[in-house]
Amino acid sequence: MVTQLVSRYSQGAVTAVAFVSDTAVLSASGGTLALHSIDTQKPIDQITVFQYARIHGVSVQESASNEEKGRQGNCVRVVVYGSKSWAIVNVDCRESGCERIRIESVHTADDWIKAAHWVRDRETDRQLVALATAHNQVIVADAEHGTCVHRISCEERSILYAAAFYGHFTDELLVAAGTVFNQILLWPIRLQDSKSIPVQQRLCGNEGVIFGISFSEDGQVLASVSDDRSLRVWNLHKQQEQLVATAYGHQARIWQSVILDQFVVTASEDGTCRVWDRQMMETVDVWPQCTKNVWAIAANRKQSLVAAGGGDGSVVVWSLEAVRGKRVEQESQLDVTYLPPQLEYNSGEPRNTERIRGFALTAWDQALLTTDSGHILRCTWNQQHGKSWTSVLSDPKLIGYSMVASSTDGSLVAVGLRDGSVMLLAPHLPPSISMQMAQIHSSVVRTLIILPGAAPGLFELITVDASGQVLWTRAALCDSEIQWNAIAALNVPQGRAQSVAAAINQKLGWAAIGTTSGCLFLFELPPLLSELQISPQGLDDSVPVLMPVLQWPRAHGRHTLTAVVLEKTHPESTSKNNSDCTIVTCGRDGHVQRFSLRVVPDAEAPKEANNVRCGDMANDMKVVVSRISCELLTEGWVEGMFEQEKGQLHAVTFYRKRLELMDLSGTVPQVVLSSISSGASKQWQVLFTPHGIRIGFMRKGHLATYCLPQQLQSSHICRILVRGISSLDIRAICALQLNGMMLVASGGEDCYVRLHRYTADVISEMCLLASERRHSSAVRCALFVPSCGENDVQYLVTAGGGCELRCWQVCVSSSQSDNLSDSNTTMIEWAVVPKSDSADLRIMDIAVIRTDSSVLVAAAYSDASVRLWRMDTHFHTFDCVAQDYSGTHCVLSIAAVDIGNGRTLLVSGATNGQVSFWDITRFVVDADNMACSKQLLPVADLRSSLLAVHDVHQSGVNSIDIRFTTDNTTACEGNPVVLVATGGDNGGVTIREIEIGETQALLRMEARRIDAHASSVKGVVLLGNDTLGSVSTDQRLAIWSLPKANPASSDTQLSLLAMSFTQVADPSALHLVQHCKKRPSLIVAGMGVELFDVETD
Amino acid sequence: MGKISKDKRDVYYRLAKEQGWRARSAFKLLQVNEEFNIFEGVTRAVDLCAAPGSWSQVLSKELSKNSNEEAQVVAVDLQAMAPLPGVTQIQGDITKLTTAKQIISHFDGAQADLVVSDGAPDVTGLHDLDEYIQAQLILAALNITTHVLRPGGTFVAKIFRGKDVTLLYAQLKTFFGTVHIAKPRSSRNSSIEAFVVCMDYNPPVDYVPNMANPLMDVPYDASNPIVGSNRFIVPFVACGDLRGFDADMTYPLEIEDCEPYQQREPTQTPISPPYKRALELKRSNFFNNTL
Repeated sequence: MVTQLVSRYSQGAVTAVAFVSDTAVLSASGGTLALHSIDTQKPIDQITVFQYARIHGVSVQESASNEEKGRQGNCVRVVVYGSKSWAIVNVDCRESGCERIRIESVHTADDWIKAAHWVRDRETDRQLVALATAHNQVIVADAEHGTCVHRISCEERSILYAAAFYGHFTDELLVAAGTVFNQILLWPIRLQDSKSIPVQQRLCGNEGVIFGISFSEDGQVLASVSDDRSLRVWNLHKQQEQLVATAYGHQARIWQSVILDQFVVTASEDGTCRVWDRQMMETVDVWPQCTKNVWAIAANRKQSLVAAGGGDGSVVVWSLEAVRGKRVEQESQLDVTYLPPQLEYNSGEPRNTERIRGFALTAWDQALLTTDSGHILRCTWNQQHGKSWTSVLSDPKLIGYSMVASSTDGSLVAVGLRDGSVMLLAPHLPPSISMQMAQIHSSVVRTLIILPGAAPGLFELITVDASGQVLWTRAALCDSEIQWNAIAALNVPQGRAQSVAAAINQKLGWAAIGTTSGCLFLFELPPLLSELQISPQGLDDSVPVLMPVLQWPRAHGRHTLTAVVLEKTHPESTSKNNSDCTIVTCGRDGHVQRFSLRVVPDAEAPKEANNVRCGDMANDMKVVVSRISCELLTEGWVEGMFEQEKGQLHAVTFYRKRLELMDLSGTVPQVVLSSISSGASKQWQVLFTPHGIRIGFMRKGHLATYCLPQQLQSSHICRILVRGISSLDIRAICALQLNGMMLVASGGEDCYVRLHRYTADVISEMCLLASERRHSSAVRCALFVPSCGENDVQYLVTAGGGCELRCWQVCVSSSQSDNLSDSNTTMIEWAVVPKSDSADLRIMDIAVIRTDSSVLVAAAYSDASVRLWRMDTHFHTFDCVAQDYSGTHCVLSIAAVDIGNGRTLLVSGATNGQVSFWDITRFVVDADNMACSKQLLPVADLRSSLLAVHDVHQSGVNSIDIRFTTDNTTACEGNPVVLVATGGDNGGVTIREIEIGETQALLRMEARRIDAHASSVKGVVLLGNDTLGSVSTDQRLAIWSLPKANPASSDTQLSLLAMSFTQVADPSALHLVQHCKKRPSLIVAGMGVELFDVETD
Repeated sequence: MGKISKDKRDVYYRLAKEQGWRARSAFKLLQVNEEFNIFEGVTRAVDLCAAPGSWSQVLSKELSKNSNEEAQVVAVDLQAMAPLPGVTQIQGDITKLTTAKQIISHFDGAQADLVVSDGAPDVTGLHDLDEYIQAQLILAALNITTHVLRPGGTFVAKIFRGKDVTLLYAQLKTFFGTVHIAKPRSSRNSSIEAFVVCMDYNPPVDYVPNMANPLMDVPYDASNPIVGSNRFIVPFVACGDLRGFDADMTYPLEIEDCEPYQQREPTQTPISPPYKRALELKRSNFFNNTL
């Protein structure tokens, strides 16, 4: 029988990218090369080029005369390199067909390759590949056979971090070598006297090692990026003052650069790319991609696109065309509108204080303005910045005060007046402008919000007056008139400051109000609300008054809650609770927060906590709102937020006299438009039209606007070809089979808990379903609670730094949807043990024990303690039931198993190499009893349940697994026998057979392998009663087995069944996935994720 | 991480400050010695990549206990380092033959008994690259060591136990009778670092020390395959007293048997980092005023 480990999926840092055409991008992660289509944003093909090396670069063969030599038909040849390996790969650029990447040949050099370049021999026109190696040598090799043709050394030997070539022919080839001594050495390839070629030019100035070098297309200019966080541009034709510019801006080290005709683009450790203007050497754009590390960038031939590879595995294509236009830096870029002379529109008394009071952008080229003299004017922008004016109306009521609001599409404009009247205008309706006015409030209108209604042409209006009364009315735009009806009054308790934000969704049945004191109110909307006639005098009948079902004071601290949006959680779900939704809020604290809203029976409602609020509803139901995320968007204010299309959320921020429009729909907020403004203007508007986006803001009595044409808009700015998983190390991973799909939960150094859906295919995919950043420190453990059956609702326990322990409810809709990007999954924080006073205390590992009526979580702590936490039937609280503080060493690993007869065994491993055995049966029984009596017991001493301590490893027991063997044929006196597997920091793995007595744990047999790995073992799992899987920092995944013969021998060696290299660097977790009928899989997680199938023939 | 926080989380960092070591790594060398007695009979020692100098401190202190003969310690680094009593400093490149000659001249023509190296590059986060650069540093250290170490002498160096560490083991084994991998208890369990303790220097018969060509790491071959059960793995030894402090453990600030907690400044503040200019710009609010 042969066991094999077959890699089915892997994702890690993308360390190389290249364009093979304007529509296809190659990206490399680990040893795998993938081809993506930019148009469809889908993978086309992928292939593993190197088994044991990571690809560090891809160099595309330039076609000498366009479609001739390099491209044979539609094929492009590329040289792929990494470590000491290099390969020639053929990429077929046609739009259809499979197996588009083909490996021509793979070769090995005797040193690390830092750069590869296609060159020709001028005399023979032979196609060659030049490779610059880490000890400042160049190998020129034959592209067909990989044989070394020339080997050239520079006289100066130094380790290189970076190198670059310039030249098409071998006799003109120039090498730029970036050394560990902060210098760039330029030396020519001379095939004669190739032993020690002198340095031709030396560029000094960088204050750190050189990580990246690039030549301009003409070879005149060189850019270097360095450990010192600077970008330096050098003119190679000057002998003195070669350094042209030094530019700072990145917040961390810079890894790569490309020089284009107009720009230099750099990729940095700070997770962004920066675009620098080559003339000014100033940043003209910043592209945020991931939390840490953009490793690779490349531009297409037309220099219109840049592909960037992220440390989180993401591949994004950015448009350079959008760089110009989306930033407004100069006054002159703005269109400034002043009122025309009063004579032209004011037939009455001229007003001394005449100025623009309010404005509404109503179309791409139109705006309505109200003036202090009580006029409403229409301004139309013509070609060449000309303006024409039309007087719409004038009303004495408008004199001196008017506040204007507009719907996002500009088709409805509302004007609030001093006497409590509201005027509605429909600028798009024929023949001129339709108008309605009514005095619906008794005091001055302070807030006006127009929200999109349930259908096009339908709008919900929220108006607030000085007395704090909040009125909800509805306007419908019919053929040529506005129908306007009142719906209800929302009772916002006084003393909660002014209501300034609102959201209404009658389909979901909710309304939300936000106030200047940061309070969030939630109103339940009755299903049948009649529309009441509004007459010019106001309301004929009194409207129903709705009381809030829930209020959340200080939802944004003491800051104003500036906008709120209600989003349906399950777009096409048919789940029982149609009212479940997500509330998104933003505020002047600069944060955007998300809350989940759901309705549950009274008994299932959790306790109110820091992040949870409950409200009473009819029929013994409760509404539960839990904060699921809180992200800082800006250091300044988030002033507004709106859903442009379904699910496409935009926010407007003000910071340091700039207005920024951000697109929040991606993994990282993207700046769509950024403009100078005059501080946080109270009056601003963003209008989306088919022509593009127009922003407008008031300042000093005039209106400033700016237009961003459609072609430069967000959707064209970046295309995400691959979504990333995590930029930082993943520390914990676990999987669950549910409703025929595989859910994978992970946690790591970036403090996120993520939920993915894994789909096995020719190109397997991991699709993000939910992610929450609630842990304040690294997440080190994640385990699903074993469920009693296939259930849509599952629970996940996570733990880590700061001793935080969390339980999450995971809801997966059972609707069978093929749509991979479905969001029918929610992950809600259900219970938490908050951060401990000692922030440095870490939970190192957890084990979950499911009993009949409760769940126990055993946790290993860095202060040498082991603690047992109990959760109630609804998973709402963690109660500590037992603890042990007698340990002397940090506990690294913990595992538990049911050993029959209602007994439960716990094992833990510590940094001193010891494994402790605990019989925790008593606590499990107590936990069950507690579930009945609901009475809390004092925290017990776990010490009393310690059965034995075994010395297993010389140093830390990093990982432990336990299994109850059902094989009782040799069991002594009916005592249960367990298998305990451990993996040590010493690189060894062991399996011990332990007999568990009433008061002791006896070693019956041990099998070990002290040299299992060349480095620390980070994960072990028992695959069966005689096989063990292990993964180590040496990036090997191995399967070991107990020898069949002579099992009782005291010194037994484990034998190796299979070993495979894993692309995951620094692996820290290994998880076994038991499929129902299939062979098992192993998931390795660390700097990336890789999934292996364990296949046996 | 705040200073108090670091004190709590890292007991050896605290102890180093309390005991006057320039870096916590001093304990690592002391613990390696506890297990391997590498200082026994040593009169001439070389510390490569010595800055900030904690290993030189250990060497000069421990070797003086050894014998009646005056112990000599030579510290080599590219950067200048604050002077240490009993330690001769050479500011030089370990890849240069002149540096080797300088070392020998300090020993009056004699060869060293012990060469240690605690050097490590600034890591990038790309593990394979970091491991490679570290391996090149060790091979450079080994190259100069072959010029200055007496036959039978000892070589101790920091390594990263990454994916290609067996290649380094194989290369070291060709020069030394025994090679062990040592993990001092003061080095964190979670850290990739470990120390090779190479004893009984015994170069191949035909080996001629040559500084002009760098020593290269060996390729994988049949005796040291990429995967399988006969990979070249050297014995692992955990060093240091088990009853001593645990580098991974979170300790309260007041520890029994220790003097009362008192927050201290580091003995030696870090040398100027490459991103010094960027830091200055940050302090002057440059980054907030740009994009």
